[in-house]
Amino acid sequence: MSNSIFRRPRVTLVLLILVSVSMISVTYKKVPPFVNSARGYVRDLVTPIRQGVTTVFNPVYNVVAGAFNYSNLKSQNARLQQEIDSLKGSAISNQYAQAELATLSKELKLTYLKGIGTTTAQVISYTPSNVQISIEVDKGKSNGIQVGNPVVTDLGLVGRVIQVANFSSTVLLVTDPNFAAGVRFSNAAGVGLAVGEGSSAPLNVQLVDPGTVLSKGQVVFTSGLSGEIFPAGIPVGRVRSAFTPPGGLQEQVLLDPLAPVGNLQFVDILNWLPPKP
Amino acid sequence: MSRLRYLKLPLILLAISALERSQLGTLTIQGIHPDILLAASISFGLLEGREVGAVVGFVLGIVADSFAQTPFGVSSLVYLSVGYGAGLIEVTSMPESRVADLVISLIGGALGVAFLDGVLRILGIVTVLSNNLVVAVTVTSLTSGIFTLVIAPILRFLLNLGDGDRPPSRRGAGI
Repeated sequence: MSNSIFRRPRVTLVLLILVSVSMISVTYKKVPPFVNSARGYVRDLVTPIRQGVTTVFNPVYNVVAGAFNYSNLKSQNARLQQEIDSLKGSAISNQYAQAELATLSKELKLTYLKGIGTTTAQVISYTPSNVQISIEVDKGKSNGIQVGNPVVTDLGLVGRVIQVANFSSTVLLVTDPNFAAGVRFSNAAGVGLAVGEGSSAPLNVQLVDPGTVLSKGQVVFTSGLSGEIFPAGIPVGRVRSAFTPPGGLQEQVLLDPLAPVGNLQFVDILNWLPPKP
Repeated sequence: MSRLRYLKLPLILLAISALERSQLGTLTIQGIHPDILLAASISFGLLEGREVGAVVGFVLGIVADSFAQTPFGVSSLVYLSVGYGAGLIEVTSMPESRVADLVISLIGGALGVAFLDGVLRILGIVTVLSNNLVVAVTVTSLTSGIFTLVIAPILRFLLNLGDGDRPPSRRGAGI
């Protein structure tokens, strides 16, 4: 018993279980402000040390990741080389496409990022958690970041801020199963609700009226309807597939996210919050 | 536990928390992260006994909960239970050997992630685990095994460092 902390292991166990269950009960419905403050202190303590550890363990990580993904890297390399060749060939036609896109955007009156201030943040890490797909960024309360701010890249929606500490924030990614955003389609009437399905799965758009005509590759934007938590016009993804099963009450639509959510380095946090009802 | 060990333990836990949040911790296999904090809780249960396993699991659970949106205390409850269980099984029913520790780690990792998924399901929270439980159990179990083989000896060395002739600190007696 000389080594024990409290000399009564069972009492320690029961005490800790009671504390844990109490914390779950208190924070289940709504997280009290003092708990958020405590979370912030823990994050502020761990995050700076993490930077040093990352530097030390980066080579180890690269070896492990390389060993697991060697065959993937090889095929990815070949594919990328092919893509480079293809892109070189289509450079001129891309210039034309860009001009056409600018015109179309004007006609559609896209408001993406116009008039909304942004804060650029560096991605510190992907949250190593199996209960949440999120990233940590190096901007927090001290930079004016607030819970609920949308997060984007030049390509499109990344997610939204769900936790803020003094010098860092957590961003829930669009691929998380708890993520949802109201969306509309670029050249078709109708709206839907895009929901995350996991890091390696496409987004699932629910509540789409059956018979809505959608084509593969069509871009989907945030709807910005009343009560929405994102401003209108942020590109979310491209339609991967869309079909209405026989007798189905809604069309089944899958989206590929436009932002490279698996490989982010910098993101823009929009200084925007949904209007209070 | 000597006073020096009281000082070393928080520093080691801080280092493990930082390690978990480094790139090594963000490695994914089939979309599932290796749960280093769970593996560490098991290792502390094996190395230092059930009560230290429970306390370390609780603290590491607080760290895990600080970065997630799930209700505060879920990870703490799971990690402390697994840390305590590992220490209890190790001292009561298994011969003291590395193979036994490895077996406990593998089983503990699997049960831990299944327990976590169960608690989250009871609370009605949808997570990545819900769709990939088999992969999660496998990955977490292997992570715990590897942690026990590679990191635990380092932890044992660090915990005993500066304790003079103190014998290896295996488990709380007095069950």
